[in-house]
Amino acid sequence: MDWDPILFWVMIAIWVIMPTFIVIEEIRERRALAKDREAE
Amino acid sequence: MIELIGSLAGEITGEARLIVDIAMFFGLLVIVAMALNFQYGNAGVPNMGCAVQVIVGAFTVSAITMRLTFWIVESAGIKLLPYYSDFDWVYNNQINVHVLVNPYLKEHPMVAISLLLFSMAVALVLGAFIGWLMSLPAIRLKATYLMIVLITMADTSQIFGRNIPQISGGTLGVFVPNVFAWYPGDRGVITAVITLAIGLVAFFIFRTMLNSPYGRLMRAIRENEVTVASVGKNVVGIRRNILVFASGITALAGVLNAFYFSFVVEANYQRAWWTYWPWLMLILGGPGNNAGTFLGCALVVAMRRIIIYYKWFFDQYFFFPISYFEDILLGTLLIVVMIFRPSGLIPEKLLYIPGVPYGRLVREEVKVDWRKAPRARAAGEKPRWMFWKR
Repeated sequence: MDWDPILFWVMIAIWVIMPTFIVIEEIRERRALAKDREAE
Repeated sequence: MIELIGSLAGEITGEARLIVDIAMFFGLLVIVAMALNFQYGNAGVPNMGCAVQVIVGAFTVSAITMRLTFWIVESAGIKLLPYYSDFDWVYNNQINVHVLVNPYLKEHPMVAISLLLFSMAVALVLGAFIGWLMSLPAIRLKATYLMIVLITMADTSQIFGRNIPQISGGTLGVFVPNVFAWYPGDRGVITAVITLAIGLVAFFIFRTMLNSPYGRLMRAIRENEVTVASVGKNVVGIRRNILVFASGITALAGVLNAFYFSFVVEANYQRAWWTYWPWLMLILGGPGNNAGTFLGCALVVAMRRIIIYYKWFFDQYFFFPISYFEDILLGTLLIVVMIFRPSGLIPEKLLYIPGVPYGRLVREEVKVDWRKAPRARAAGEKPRWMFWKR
């Protein structure tokens, strides 16, 4: 079986998961901070 | 289904090769940049010696793993060419590695995987040890002097590699055993997957540490180390621990880089490559936050690999060799970012700790007009920053 194409897409998946997770977390934290500031 | 998905990528050539290359260097440099963000962005330790730790990882492969591999292969009854003298170590290396060792590793995948894990474990320990060694004379220094000492150490490590052939073959370099020889396809793809996976794990480790009380202590040291010392914290010890921990992680990038190229030469570990470019990534993205580090890393790596990949296309538009364009780009980008976006593309935000009203505890936006404050006090007026008397 040719593993290269499968690993290629695994690589793309890891490459996409990492920044997506970071961006989602960043947006969530910034929103929470803004909410805190409004509550003050 | 797998065949269908597989057919989308096809053979790893052309554009797919560029993508693998970008992913690989993104994985390598994101490890270095994240470790740098951990040190400088969060603790204020300006590590200008990232190249030292990376080179330690690469030298671990060329000096230790390779000898261990040779010993294993000889124990299995395969006769290698002599490799004890400086001359033999360099000139018999190609036949020893490509003709005799790699076919053995192809037949014994568990040995090859064990060698990869062994290299990473040793690099972690040696990287941390080098971090500790670097911290001995330097950690008590002020930021500027610390930077100068660390730059010098990066150069020194290269000089060792250049002049002692037994480490990495001197100026000629040495081939290292292919620990992915058992893999039937392209070595670049599997190395890129492993590198990105290690980058992901490193990210979660750094994230956990930064969200812990220790991470908040690091930020406190960055902001005002005198205050932190005055409440009884060992500032020098904490800065040393940070340097040691981040150095260990950075050394992994050296190991993976060595296995990606299957070759180690000291010239591959210049400080421009492994120190200045990660610094640019950090400054471009914004120090003190992981999202900025990732963005900076992705932008710079993609830009560099595309310049290299399409150099014949770009070359016709410049009157100077295209290889200089990268360095010009580094300098220009640094200047532009420092002038127009000193806090990076994604500026650092206040620390968010779920359940703790951090915003109320830290009054960062308090502006004190010191010229008016004495007059305000004399008039019985409470200045804005004296919030506890309200």
